[in-house]
Amino acid sequence: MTESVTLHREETKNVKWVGSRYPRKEDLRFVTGNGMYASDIRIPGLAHVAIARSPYASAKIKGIDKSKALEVPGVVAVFTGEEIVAELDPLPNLLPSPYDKVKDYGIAVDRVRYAGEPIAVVVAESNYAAWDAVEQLEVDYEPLSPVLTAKSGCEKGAPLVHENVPTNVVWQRKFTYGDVDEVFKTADLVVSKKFKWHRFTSAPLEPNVVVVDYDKRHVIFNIWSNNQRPAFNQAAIAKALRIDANRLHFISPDIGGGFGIKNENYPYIILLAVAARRIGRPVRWIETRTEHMVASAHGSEINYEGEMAFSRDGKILGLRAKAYHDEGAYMRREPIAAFNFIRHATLTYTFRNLEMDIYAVVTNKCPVGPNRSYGKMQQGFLVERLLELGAKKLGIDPIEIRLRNFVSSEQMPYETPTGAILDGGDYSRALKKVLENMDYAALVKERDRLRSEGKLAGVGISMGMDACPINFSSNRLINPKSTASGESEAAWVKIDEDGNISAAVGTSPQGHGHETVVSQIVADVLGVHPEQVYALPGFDSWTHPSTPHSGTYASRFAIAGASAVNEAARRVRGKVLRIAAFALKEDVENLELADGSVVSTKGKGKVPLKEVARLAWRDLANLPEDEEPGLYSNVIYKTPFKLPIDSQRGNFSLTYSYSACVVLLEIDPGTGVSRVKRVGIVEDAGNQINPLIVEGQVHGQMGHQLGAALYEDLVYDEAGQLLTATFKDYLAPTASDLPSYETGSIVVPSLFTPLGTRGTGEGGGAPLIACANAMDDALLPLGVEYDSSYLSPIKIRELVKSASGK
Amino acid sequence: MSRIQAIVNGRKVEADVEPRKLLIDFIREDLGLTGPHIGCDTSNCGACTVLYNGRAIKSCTMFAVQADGAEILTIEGVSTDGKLHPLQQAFHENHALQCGYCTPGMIMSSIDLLTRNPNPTEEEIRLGISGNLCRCTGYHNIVKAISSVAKSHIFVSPLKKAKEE
Ligand code: FES
Ligand code: FES
Repeated sequence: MTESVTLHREETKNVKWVGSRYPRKEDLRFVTGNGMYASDIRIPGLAHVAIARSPYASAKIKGIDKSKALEVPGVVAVFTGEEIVAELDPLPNLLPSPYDKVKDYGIAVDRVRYAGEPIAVVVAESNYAAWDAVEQLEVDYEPLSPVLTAKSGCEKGAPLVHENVPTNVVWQRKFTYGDVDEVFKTADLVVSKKFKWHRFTSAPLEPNVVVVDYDKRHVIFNIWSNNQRPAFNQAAIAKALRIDANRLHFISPDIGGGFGIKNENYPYIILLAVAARRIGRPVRWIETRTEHMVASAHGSEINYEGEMAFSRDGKILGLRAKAYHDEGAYMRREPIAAFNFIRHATLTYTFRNLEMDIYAVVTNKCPVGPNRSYGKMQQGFLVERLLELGAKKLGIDPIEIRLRNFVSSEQMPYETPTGAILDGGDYSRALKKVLENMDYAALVKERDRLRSEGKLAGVGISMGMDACPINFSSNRLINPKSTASGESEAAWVKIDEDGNISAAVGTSPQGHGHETVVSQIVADVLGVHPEQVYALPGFDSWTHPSTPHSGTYASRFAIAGASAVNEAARRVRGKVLRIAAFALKEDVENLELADGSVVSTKGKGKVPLKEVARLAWRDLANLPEDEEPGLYSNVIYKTPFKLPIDSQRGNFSLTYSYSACVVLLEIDPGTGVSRVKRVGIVEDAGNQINPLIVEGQVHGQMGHQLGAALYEDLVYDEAGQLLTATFKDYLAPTASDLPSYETGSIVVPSLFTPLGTRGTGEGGGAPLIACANAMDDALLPLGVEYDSSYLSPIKIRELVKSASGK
Repeated sequence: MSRIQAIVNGRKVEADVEPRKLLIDFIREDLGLTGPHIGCDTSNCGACTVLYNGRAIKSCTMFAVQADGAEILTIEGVSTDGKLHPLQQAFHENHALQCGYCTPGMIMSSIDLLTRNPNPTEEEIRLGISGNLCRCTGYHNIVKAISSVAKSHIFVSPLKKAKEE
């Protein structure tokens, strides 16, 4: 159910395809089994890599004996961490001194810092032989006692995860906005609560894959991988390999889901590049699921100590929180998740007083990295859970309290205390619409009926916000030495001499349907059918344009990618019109481009696009004097961003899509197992280029978020072993665990993007948070106040038992 | 090495395989059929699903030698005469795939499901594909696609077709 799509773009009369539910062009190859993923690449002479990993969370490596491994039939080479690192510089990180000295090579040298950390690279003629050799490696470890929580890592005398820096707290900052102490002193009500945000992972179905072929003749590394932003990562990879970045040739073909995690496979690209160069053969590494679970990039794990101040009538006056982030062993993208609160610190609400005291702590666990809704859902959780507790204490209905605190549509654009500029929207309309779609009163009745049957049941609502893309000037608030600012994306559009239209963007999609949406955008601008546009698949750094920000992450396509390709198409269109005007002896203003021809509105005839293309490339003497030949435009779109306002404020995203979600949850008190009975969501992504695809993204968020809320948990034991390292223990939900989704949307175009679009892929966590609020409601009869983002069935059973004695 | 013979997508294949080689590796690496995928190492994800003598199996859970004498159908053999199978068409029309990595396995499991139960309820569909994980779609549109094929009675087993030919 989508209301009123109004496109506020220049050529509205030609808009046919943008805004339509155009079925995806890329589907054909996938449904027939012809997708081309990195593991499908075949190169003659390919050798296979298996990675030996540490069984300990923390230990010294006293020696590695590889003689037996080298005897395994089919083994080509074994490289220990020490041998690999001899050819590398450490990976860069974002931390200010002295914590920038945390050494990270993507492979351990004399000390391992998490269970699963790579310690050696084994190359063999087959995958089977490579694993045989891994088993024959003899490593002498001296186990050390690990640091396994952020809190214990902060303690005085805690063992150091990285011995060359002073503490495990590698980044700490307190951000204060408004008069926090004063409002907390004078408030009518203050609620305080400690919350646990649990560790989980987006776990794309396709594990990480890297293939590297070193071309000695041209001194080029050809790199096929499923990295979701190779152009972004190339600088770090080149620096580590001590080579020029233009010697790296990246190909990301079809990618089997990424969700942020596949930003982070670049350390493996580096390890394989070294191995390929050393043995003079192409090498391939395919991560196993277990490796993915123990050693890719986990989502963040946080202990919050939060407080919210209210007036008697339910106005939020302020938020104050300490956040202890368990970052795992290495800081690759972090502390971005910890810092990301700043983009949507106050969510959809008007309060102006805020204090966030953030501790980023290294531990002996898998490193944290980008995972869908990176840092977004976490802040939403903190705000929404405290708001819910406040509503309860004040006896105000959870809907009513939200309505009283929303930023209204009349206040847009609205600058929040952290300097974020909300780009339009109607939060109360979204909330009201989802409640209406779901018949909220009936939902509450159904909950009560379930309760009367002896079930535990709860209803929860939540808002979520997906701020995107990233203004990299935000890095300056993490590290004052950072000189980055803004962000960009590149695209080209070309009409060749026969009139064939092609387009390419630097975004390396992972199932987002960019071939389809690029075709829709270009088709509208050039007045053709989307099937007449060939959008290049995947990403190849030699054919696709790119910038250092290119890639698909932070829900940025609908802003940066779409704007870049739209502008490139517009420029080509401008040239088509000029050349046609010259040929027809007509004014450009009197020309229209539709159905593959340029037509004079004053009856001076028409020229087919194909003929314009011929003129532009082949009949150069018939071009206007000052017109360059060809029909090609390469655009680098700069997302309009500024520097930070000061050391703790700035607008670090351009659009702020949002959603409202409501959930009915049922728990079986006998087993402790929870199920979502019904879930509805209404989101506003602004103008939607393809509502079918946007809806698919919303469904995907649902799957991830409901899974995280009810089933998925990365559990470590007291020795630092991950207990949920396979899909047997890490319960990624199946179709029978999840309900169908009641989705709807409203469209309030973004005030700041050329197409009125908002980025929306990640979502802001509303389904997960709504589940947490529903869980709180469900546990109410047990006298329990819910204090985490996930509770296992076993723990729920314990609560039931201790409450009822059965 | 053991010698095996099998019919794969209607074609006879013969090969020498290491006894420990998994069927999925044989299909992907030796036969070059890269439609079936690998998504886990514990037989949970179903990305590797193929039909083995007419039933959906997880090809990571069998050895290649067990394919000796068997008839195997992978996603590559599902469409005939250059036309998409109704399930393939429905997955496309209902936007039942995003990254496409789970799709080949999902479609093979759906074939098995609709062969055994041509009129499944939503619950039966969800249960029928619960051996296959998808991390992109949240399953909503996959269920919709399968149900649309069942409701319009256009399902034909691709196996039947392969036999008739
Ligand atoms: S790869 Fe066979 S079930 Fe996962
Ligand atoms: S479409 Fe990506 S895993 Fe299903």
